[in-house]
Amino acid sequence: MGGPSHPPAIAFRLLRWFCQEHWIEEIEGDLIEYYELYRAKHPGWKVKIFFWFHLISLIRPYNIRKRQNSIPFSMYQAQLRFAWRYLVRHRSQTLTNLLSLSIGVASFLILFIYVDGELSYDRFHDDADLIYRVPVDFLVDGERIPDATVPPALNKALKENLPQVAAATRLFPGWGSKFSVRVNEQHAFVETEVLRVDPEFFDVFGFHLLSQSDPSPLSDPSSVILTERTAKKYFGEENPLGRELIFEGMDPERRTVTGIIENVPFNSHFTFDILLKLHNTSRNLDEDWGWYNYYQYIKVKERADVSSLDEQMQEVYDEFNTREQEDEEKNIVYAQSLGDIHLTSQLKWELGDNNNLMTIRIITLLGIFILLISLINYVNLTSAQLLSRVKEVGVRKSFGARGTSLIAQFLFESILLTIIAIATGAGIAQLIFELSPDLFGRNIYLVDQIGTLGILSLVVVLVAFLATIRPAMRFSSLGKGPLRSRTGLLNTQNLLLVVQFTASSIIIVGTLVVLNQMSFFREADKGFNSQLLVIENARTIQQQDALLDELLALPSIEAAGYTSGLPGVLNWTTMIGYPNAFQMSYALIGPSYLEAAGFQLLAGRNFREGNESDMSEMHFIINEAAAKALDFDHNDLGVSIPIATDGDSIQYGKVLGVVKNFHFTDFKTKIKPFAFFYRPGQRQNLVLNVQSSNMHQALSAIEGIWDSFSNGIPATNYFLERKFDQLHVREARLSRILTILCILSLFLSFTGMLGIVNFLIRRRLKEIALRKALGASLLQVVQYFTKNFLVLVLIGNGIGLPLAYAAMNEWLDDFSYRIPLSPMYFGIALLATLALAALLVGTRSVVTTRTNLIDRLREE
Amino acid sequence: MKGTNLGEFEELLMLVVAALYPQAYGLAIREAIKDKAGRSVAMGAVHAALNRLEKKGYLSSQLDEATHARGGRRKRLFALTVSGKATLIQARDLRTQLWGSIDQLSWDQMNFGYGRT
Repeated sequence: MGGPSHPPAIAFRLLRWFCQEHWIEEIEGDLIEYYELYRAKHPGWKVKIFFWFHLISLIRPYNIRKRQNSIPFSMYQAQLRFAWRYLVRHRSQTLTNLLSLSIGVASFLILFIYVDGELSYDRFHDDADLIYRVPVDFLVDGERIPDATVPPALNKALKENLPQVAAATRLFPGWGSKFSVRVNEQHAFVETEVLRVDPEFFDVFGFHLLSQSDPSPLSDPSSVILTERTAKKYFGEENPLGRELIFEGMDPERRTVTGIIENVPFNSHFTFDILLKLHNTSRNLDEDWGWYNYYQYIKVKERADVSSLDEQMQEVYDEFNTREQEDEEKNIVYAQSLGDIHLTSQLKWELGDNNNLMTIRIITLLGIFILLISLINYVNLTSAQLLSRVKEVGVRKSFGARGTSLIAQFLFESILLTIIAIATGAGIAQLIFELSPDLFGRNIYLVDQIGTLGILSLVVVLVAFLATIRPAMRFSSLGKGPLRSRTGLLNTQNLLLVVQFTASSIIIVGTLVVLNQMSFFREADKGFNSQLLVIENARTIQQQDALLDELLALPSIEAAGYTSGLPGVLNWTTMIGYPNAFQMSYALIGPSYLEAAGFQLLAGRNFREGNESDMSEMHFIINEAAAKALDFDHNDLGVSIPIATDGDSIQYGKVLGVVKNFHFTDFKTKIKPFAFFYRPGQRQNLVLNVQSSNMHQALSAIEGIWDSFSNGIPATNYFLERKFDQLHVREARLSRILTILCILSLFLSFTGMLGIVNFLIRRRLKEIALRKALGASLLQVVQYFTKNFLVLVLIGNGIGLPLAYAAMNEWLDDFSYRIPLSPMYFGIALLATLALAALLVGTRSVVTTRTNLIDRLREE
Repeated sequence: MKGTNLGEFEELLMLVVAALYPQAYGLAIREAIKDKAGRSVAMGAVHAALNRLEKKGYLSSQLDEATHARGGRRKRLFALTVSGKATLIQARDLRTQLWGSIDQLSWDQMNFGYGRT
């Protein structure tokens, strides 16, 4: 994390809203000072909780803003007082009701805001529906291999030959490389989010320039556009326009800041900190049809006919693509609507971490489900409660209360309770947003979601209204017929319990499966040592070998080596194989890398340091998957075999060794062919196997040596394990959301059942007393009550578990390497729900039965 | 004289205001109470009590000059008024007087509470 943290802005908004003008300044000052004072002493979340505590303690009658229209308030004062008294007198029921409803509201809000954020991707551009991306499907042996990148020449061809196109731009990202940007003698920064684009970028996308020194700020190859955030990082409060930046190792090196652009919002499918003009001195990009490395975006004219856009683009591609031969299979280009990319596109080389619609749908359903359960909970508990107020109604009526005022009173109570519940729920949701910002990958303030909150409140209050109006109306006509509690009500309650336990068992199984699959990622043998320290800007070092030798002399470093690519990070691919070509990922390494990263050599040998032949063209070490794809057997080790076709000629190569298969992408993907080549020259990554009891000391020793070689550029390092966790960041997020939902749904079931059990037992006190008087034992009475509930739990599980099996099987099928669906998960879900029900009903009935039941029989 | 009685917390607060003068403002007072008396009180409680005492006329307050600290917000600095000082002295005198009148015997005979039996 790091960086300065500020007191939550929403707190100050709240303060300004409730507090009289007169007090605001000093209170704000004290709060800010408090926050600064304690931030140094406590972890952030703790300070935030204290902060909120103090803020809330500051809401006092004397400083609350007096509002003009307080007349309606006084009109309802009497009702408010009655309602308050009733709610406080029955505080356990009130609390049950309140908790269940506010948890429902909180969960719904959290899930809804998450889903809303996911659905909002890329909609912030002006005319977002006119923007398209143009990806390509490669045709290989009749198979379509989708890919997000196209050749750079397509841009010009589309712009000049398609009448619908209003503007077009190419995007060329950093591809994971590190850019060293020097601001002055002392300060250099390492940047990754550098995007190279055409000047028309601003005609296609709706990113707003905040200031610019030139009407077309990207017209020159030496111009730089920074986001607001980056400009602040480089220059602080000074004016960044016209300032010079040195991009070390790039052509041109000296560049001038010509524009400041707003920060890229979280809901953009690509992100950047720095924009440069796309330009290449060595080749003419507008004529290059061979280099599939560019992202192509177009904006069509308003009301343009896009019905045949795909066909027209294909025609242009076929006509101008000089590289495609007549008889060869032709690649297929098509338009992809900008708004669909984040949720539906899963091409090779996506620019961001795209989500899928299925997860979104699941989460939406869960949100609605939980809200529904808590609403039904509320309906049932409220109507059950109303039935026990017959006496109160009688007294009120005999004192002359009219029907309408009775109804109004009940409605008032109900709506008061729901409003408190909504406020509490919103509070809980905001607290969760505050405490775990990484749960959603962004900061969320409920004040900004006022519309959502309003609609949700409306729905909840409406349900509360409907839940109360019917029983209340029956009361108001009391006396015209006998009032009976209908058995229908109980059936609804039973149905609800079944629904709750169905949901609970599904969610329990789901959580267990996701959590186990997640720990499987972490603990499974990846085929190499992932506990590695990686320095990812080793390319900036001139004397890489000397650095390596000095580092190896450190006692804490077991082994070290250089490589171009890393498992879990980016690797390049090439087409290889004879007679059938296949796609193979590869890395350029130094010999010591294999040992440092702990790859297991199954056959053959490692590269020899400084051996010229090992460095030559097609001598390599492969993994088992590549051996299989090459149809390689161990007799071929070190022997020249046909490796690839280059036009008409066959290329030969030597396999020096075979390493055990290892996971170099996520666990969703099967392990694919991989090869290592030994090449001299500067490599991107320095990999260190650090074994030390004092990691901190070891790291500073490494840093010391690095600094003597690096010319002032700081080492950017990370542990490889973390990159692997990042590959599964969506699953990790899902598992965290599911864990929370699991606890919440159990809690909801608990409160719902508690309410109904209490109600049932209270109604049947006399029955219990009679049974006991006639000689029933404690155990019999408990059994009598528990049995019914356990049957409901069993029915719930009977419906839920098969559904959970089907759903989780489908989810796991997405992974090539997955855990088996053990019966244990289902057993745990069944036992947990059964135990919960037995415990709850059991203890309630024991407590009731143990009281002196003669008192109950004597009543009235 | 009814109405001039100070609550325990109010008295503590006024003493702290006097001790911190001229830098007695909300947060500083809270922190002093925390450090000296070991009592962690909510900022709201301090703020409310200070305003109550000001209304009673025991404290006076004015806004400080703005500084760059605290996000540029001014502090409200409190000070004892003449009547505040008189009330404090009165409270102390009453206590000293009562302490002086305690007979040694009552210390020796001190009960540890009493039960019904």
